[in-house]
Amino acid sequence: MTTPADGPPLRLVVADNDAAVIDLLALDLRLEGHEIVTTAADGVAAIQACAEVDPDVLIVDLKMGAGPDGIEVARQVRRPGRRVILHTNYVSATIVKAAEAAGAVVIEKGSLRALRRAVRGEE
Amino acid sequence: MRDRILSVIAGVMVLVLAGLIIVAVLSAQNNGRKALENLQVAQVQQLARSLDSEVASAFTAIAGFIGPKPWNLTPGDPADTRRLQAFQDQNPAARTGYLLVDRSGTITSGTLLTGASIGQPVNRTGLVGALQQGKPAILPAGPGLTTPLPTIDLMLPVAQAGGGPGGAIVLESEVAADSPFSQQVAALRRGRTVTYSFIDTNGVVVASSDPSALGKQAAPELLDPRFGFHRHGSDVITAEPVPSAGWRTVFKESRSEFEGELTGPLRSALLLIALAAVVGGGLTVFALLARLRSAREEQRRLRSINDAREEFISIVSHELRTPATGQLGFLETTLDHWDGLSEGERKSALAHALTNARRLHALTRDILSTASIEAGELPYVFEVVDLRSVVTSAAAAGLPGPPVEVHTPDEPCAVRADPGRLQQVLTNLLDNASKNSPVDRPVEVAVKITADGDALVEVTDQGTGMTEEQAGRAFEKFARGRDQSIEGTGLGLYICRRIIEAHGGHIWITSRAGPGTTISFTLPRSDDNGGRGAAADRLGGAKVPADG
Repeated sequence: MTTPADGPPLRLVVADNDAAVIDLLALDLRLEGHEIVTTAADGVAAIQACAEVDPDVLIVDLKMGAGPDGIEVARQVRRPGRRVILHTNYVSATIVKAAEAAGAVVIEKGSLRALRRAVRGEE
Repeated sequence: MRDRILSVIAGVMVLVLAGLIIVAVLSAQNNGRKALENLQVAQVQQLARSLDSEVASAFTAIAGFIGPKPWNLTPGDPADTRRLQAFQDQNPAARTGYLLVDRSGTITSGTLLTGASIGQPVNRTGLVGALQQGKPAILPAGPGLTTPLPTIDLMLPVAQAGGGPGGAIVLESEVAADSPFSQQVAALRRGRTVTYSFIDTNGVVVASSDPSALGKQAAPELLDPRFGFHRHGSDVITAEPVPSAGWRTVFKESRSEFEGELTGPLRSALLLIALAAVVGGGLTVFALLARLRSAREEQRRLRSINDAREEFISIVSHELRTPATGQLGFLETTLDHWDGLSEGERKSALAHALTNARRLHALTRDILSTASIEAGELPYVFEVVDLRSVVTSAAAAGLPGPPVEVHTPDEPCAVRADPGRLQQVLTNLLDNASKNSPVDRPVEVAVKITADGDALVEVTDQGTGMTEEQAGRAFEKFARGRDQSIEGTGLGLYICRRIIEAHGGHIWITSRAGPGTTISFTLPRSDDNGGRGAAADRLGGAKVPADG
């Protein structure tokens, strides 16, 4: 395992209803030196995973079918010291504002480098 | 709400229009009634004037007939009696006679005397007054003296020989239905209720178009002192004076009959016009509302199209972004971590990138195909192909997901089709089945021959079943699948249907409650191993080069 460029490895949970996205993020962030503790395919599973494994960072998609969306998940799992990253194709001022209110940062899908920086807390 | 207000306004306008028409017709009716009244008054005046003139002429004629020679005026005077008899003999058929009276009204001579005798006074109202005035007069009706019937008497003053006070000759005329005067009046009769009456100063009917009233006291309404036109109860009355006789001429008719000729047609016209206005107005209102409704429908339809377009743009942009970002991501991580990846991990990442690229390609093809279908320009290149090989090829080229099991018959299954379009149909059906099936449950594809000899392809998944309503809409454009969380443009099955229909085939869904859905399509089998293009002409598809 490689070591993260800045700081110690982080414990991550990745939540997305697209398995290919989970595969990609798991591969990339593992190679970045982080630990993918578990993954989730919907909002309920993401909340449950956070309760069980208490990750440092949650990367969560906005729309994951039925159940709570990414903003609602962020609202429920927020705690001091935990970063929640809303990883989505749907970026608008309204969503950014709602995400910030829920304690999450928004990273648009398509740029892994931006996501890596957000995981490290650089944005 | 707006429709209701407009319909109320239109209805009120129709009512106002109908009201204006009614007012106009009623006004015309009133004017017509006035004209009718004036006409009736003129007619009665003319009648009264005519009679007045006749009376004056009669006095002149009788005076000439009698001559200026004085009379003796003594009771039973032979000379007077001979002269009177000579007058009587002038008209042997006459039923009334002549009387000669002295200044006191006593009969001195007479012919056809039946109700009186010489030496008796003539008891007739107005006689004495007329004798004193010495002017011709018509005396009121009374019992006849020369006939058993009542009479009206004409009195002409005469001179007395020797310069005496004078007297008068009295000519009697029967008040009877067959008298010339009564027959003249009877000729005026018309309608059911019209009566013309001549009433003397005592209120007795001396002539009438109603024979039953002759010689009797006139009805009270006929004695109304007013002249001209007036209404009395349910009757209309017109009365005019006959000054020379001291009579009144009275016309009487029931009001309904009098106005019937005018009001009947007007009322019918009014009814027809009002009916036409209501019907015409109603139809106009109906047409306007229908047009309004149609415009609203069109507005709704355009809004719906706009909503669908916006939804389509939203869906497509997301659907395109998902494989594009996936492709970018796998390529980016492969490049960024090339040294850290094992050989297998590199291959896996590139395979993921390839899968996303294929998905992107399939999506763009579906979008372009839909646009071409809508424009009627989706190109087809038909040739005879073995359906088994097309199905096997499509199954092998599928995206990662549940395993695909292919079942084909042993013998060839030739169809005349565009293999590229068939591949597109099968790719869409397999993609649809894969997305809806659990990863560990196989998707089955079977090629069969139907009892009718058509080729049949069935794609069966083990995913959630469809409701009847979902199955009914599944082949519509932008229809979303059974699971709304599964991504897709909603174009796949629509394109499948249009392509299969262009091949002369049929596509349908067999689903049930619980897991499992089968989408089937048939294609006409080909017994022709000939060249390309024949089927294209038969099916109406465009024949262009495959890369065109």
